[in-house]
Formats: sequence, structure tokens, C-alpha cells
Amino acid sequence: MRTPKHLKRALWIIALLFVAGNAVRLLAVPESFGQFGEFRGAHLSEERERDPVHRGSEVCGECHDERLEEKNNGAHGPIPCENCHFQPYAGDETHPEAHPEISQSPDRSQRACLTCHQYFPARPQAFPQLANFPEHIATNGPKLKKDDVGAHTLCVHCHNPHDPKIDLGQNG
Amino acid sequence: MTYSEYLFPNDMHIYWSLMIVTYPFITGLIAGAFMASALFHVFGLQELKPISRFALLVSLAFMLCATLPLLFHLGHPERALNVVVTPHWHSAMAGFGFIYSFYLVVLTMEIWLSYWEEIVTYGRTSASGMKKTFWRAIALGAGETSDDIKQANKKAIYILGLIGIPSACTLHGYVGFIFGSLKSNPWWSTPLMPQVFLLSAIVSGLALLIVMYVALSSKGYLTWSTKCLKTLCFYLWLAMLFYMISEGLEILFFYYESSDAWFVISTLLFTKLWVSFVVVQIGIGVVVPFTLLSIMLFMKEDQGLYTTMAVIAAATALFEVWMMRWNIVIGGQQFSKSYVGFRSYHPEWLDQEGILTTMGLSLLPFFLLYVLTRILPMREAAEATEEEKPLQSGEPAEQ
Repeated sequence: MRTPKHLKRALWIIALLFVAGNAVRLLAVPESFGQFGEFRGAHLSEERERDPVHRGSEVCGECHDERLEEKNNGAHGPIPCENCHFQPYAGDETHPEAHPEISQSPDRSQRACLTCHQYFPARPQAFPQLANFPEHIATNGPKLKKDDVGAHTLCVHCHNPHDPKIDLGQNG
Repeated sequence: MTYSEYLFPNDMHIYWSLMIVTYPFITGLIAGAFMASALFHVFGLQELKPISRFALLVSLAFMLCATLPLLFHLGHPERALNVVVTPHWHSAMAGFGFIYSFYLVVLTMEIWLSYWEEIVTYGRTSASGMKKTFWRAIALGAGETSDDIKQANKKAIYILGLIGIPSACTLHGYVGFIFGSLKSNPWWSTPLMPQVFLLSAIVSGLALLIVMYVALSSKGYLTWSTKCLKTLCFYLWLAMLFYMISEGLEILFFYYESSDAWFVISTLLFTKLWVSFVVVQIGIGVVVPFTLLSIMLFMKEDQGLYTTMAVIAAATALFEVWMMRWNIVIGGQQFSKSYVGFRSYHPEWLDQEGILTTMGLSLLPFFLLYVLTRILPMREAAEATEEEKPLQSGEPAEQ
């Protein structure tokens, strides 16, 4: 039995689609793909060329050594300065004069502190964390600074972010 | 160091959402519907003729929507084709694009050839020039419908069916393969998983066809044949039997091995999955349809009760397969790698992967099926055998 015309044509179309699809696929593969593994090799050099946003606490310590020492001796010792002081070095070496618009002020909101201290079931229990901020204020606030307790009480009203631990025995 | 609730930090959230429940459900229906059609086209089960072409359209309608749950889950549709441009062959997921494309070609070819006579006729008889051109283009400029051509088409459909069975199995089975090969998760990691997925796919495909067949033939859209329903119900019973054996074996092995995996799986089954797996999936989804189908084996198919029971059995079987996807996908993420911490999943209504999206994606194939049946007829002229009801007057004669 001879192969009917429509079947032959359909097979040709499928073959053409297969070849064209593969040609497009080959053209679409990025040039450096597979150079080091299953990814675009040029990606590595592109990442290396980017300016680092954070420079590390030591750079801050070149000018603010007393602050750095206070932080390093406190419970926030391992936290880099730039976690709270937004990127003072972003893209510019001449900090701070050249870019006064870049805020070096730390975020003083509760939200900033709760990024790490919000209660999270998977966090180690020994890690200080808050499930309920008003309750925390009600429990500990009056023992610390009674006058400061109010609707807009912030963590930083009681805790010094550079050395946040408060000895309740002394202040209570 | 102690962890409250015993969850690891990277175990806090359930990332494979309702979309990953919907995806294997849709591919299962594709494979199942194709299998039903193959029973006629490849294995020559004449009783299934009334539904053989419609089953292919069902398969295609769901096929066209199969990628959508993945797109909604992953986001970034602009990266969707990367899986075929730069596939990583160490991952079974890399095969998706190729398996999907291959099966789509096979399925489209099979539908094209099944409707060959209609396509040629429309090319000749369509009233408007546009329609004529459209149908002639679909016929690739050819227009022969001689007996030789019909024979050649039949043979080609048979070969496509033969290729289509493993393709449909691969399209759906590889989902089971991915779950089964995830050695980090004891609820998934079993070589029985692809088989469980495949058998449940056949169950879902047949069940959907039974519900649609009864509904559509009662309105006259498909040729009614009690033998067709009986055959579909018998194969649904058979598929459910093998499915139950595989699923049962899986649980039995977990229990008998009593490895560290059983510790978490048994807790899971008696806590988080007690309602959704034990009560709903097994208690309702397996027991009800299998009991009904077993009783139906001894019933005469021409009773009204038989049809009612068939619809109830098929609807609950379909529901069972959806629940099975849920219990595997969501259930497998409800415990932490710590094996002692458990978490819950609460899908949202308006989320990108939420309940409304799921409902929309589940209804979309039916809309596409409606569109497809507006273009291609559901029934064919020469469907009825001498034992079935005669064709209604006004139906076109066999070409």
C-alpha cells in the first residue's frame, strides 16, 4: 500500500518542525553555557564586576572605632554595621560627603528589630524573640523606663542597638 | 539546642501548592482519556467506538492546559522555555518539554487522522471561502477519502496509538517518577510511585469519560450504547483494582519495613492525613466506587440503576484521584525532615496558586473541549452497531 499524500506531507511538516525547533534551540543557548557546568559561564565574571554593596564592619571601624568596639562587645557583635545602617558605602568610596542623600541613619522601627526577633517556631528557643510586642512591653517595660512606655514605644527606647542586653537586676 | 515544634527553618512552608496537586491531576486525565481511546484504536474494543474520538478530544483539551499549573506555580513565564533550551539531563524534569511536545504531536496527528473524512468533507462543502480554505489547509491540500486511504489512515492511527500509549504513560508516569525518586521524602520515595500515578491516571481518565459520556449522550451529543458504558465501567473496575493493590502494597511495605520512615508516615496518617487520606480518600474515594463497580459486574447494564451507579462510582473515583494527588503532594510536605515536626497547609482563595486559580484551571479544559467540539463533531455517522440504538434521523450518512 502506498503512503497517502496527506500522511507524507504531515511527516514532512513534523520533520521540518523538528529541524527548525532544534535550530532555534541551538541559537537560543547562551554562548558561554556549559563552560563550567550547567549554567552560563559569563555569569561569574559579570557578578565579579559588580560593585559590592556591603564592605564589612571593619571599614566602618576606621572612623567609628568606639562604636564598633561597643557593638563587638555586645550581643549584636556578629551583626555587621550595614545590616542596620543602610549601605553607607553603596557605590561610592567617598562616604559620606559625596552622597549625603544616602541615609546612614539606622531604621529605628519595630519592624527592623523584628526582622530577627519576631517569634518563629524554627528559631532556637534560647534566641530572644517576641511573639507579642505589647505583652513584652507590659511585662518588661515598667521595670525599665516607666515614662517611655506608650503607644509608639520602640525597641530602641529601652535597648541600645549596639549593646542591646539589659540587666533587669540593676534597672528593674 | 532545642527547636520548638521540631521544624527546621527550611521546613516552615509548604512550597508545592494546589498547583502541584492540579498538575498531575490534569496530566492523569490526559493519559487516562488516551488509554480509553487506545482500547478501541489499538486493542480493537469495538464497544468503545462511541467514545473513542471524543476521548482524544478530551485528552487534547486537558493537554492544552497541562502547562498552566506549572506556570502559575513557578511564575516567570519568560523563562518557561529554558527547560528545552538548556535542559539539565540529571533532572527528570528536563524531560518535560520534550515528552510534552512529542505526545502533543502524536495526539494531534491521531485526532487529525480520526477526523480525516470530516476534514475533507468540510473542505469540499463549507459555505464560506474562509472556512473552505481553513479546512483545506488542515487537510494539507489533500482530499482523498477512498477505501485505500481509509485503510492507510486506520493503520496510521493504530501505529500512533501504539506510540501514544508509552508517550502518555511517560508524560504522566514521569511525574510519579519525580516524586518516587525524591529520596529525601519517605512518603514519596518508593519505586511504586510511578505505577500508582499511572494506574490512578487511568482511573481518573475512565471516570471522567463515564461521567461525560452519560451526561452528553443523555442530551444526544454522543451515541448512547449500554455496552460502551458497561465496558468503560469494567475497565474502571480493573484499573481501580490494580491501583488499590499498588497503593495498598506501598502502605503495607512502609508498615512491614517499619523503618524510620514508618515512624513519621504512621504519625502523618493518624494525624494530619487522617481525614483527607484515611476517611475521605480511602473510606469514600476507594470503597464507594469499588463496591459499586463490583456489584455492577453482576448487574444487567440496561437498568436505569446501572447508569446511576456508574455515575456515582465514576464521580467518587474521580474525586478519589484528586484527593490522592492532594495527599501525596501536600501530605508529603506536612512533616519536617526532623521527622517529628508537622505543619499545616491553608490555601488562600485569591492567591496566585490559590483556590480560585485552581478552579479556573480545572474548568478551562472543559471550555476548550467545548470549543474543540464546536469545530470537530463529537460523534461520527457510523458509530451505532446493530445492537445499539439507531441513529437519529438527519445524521449524515457514512462517507
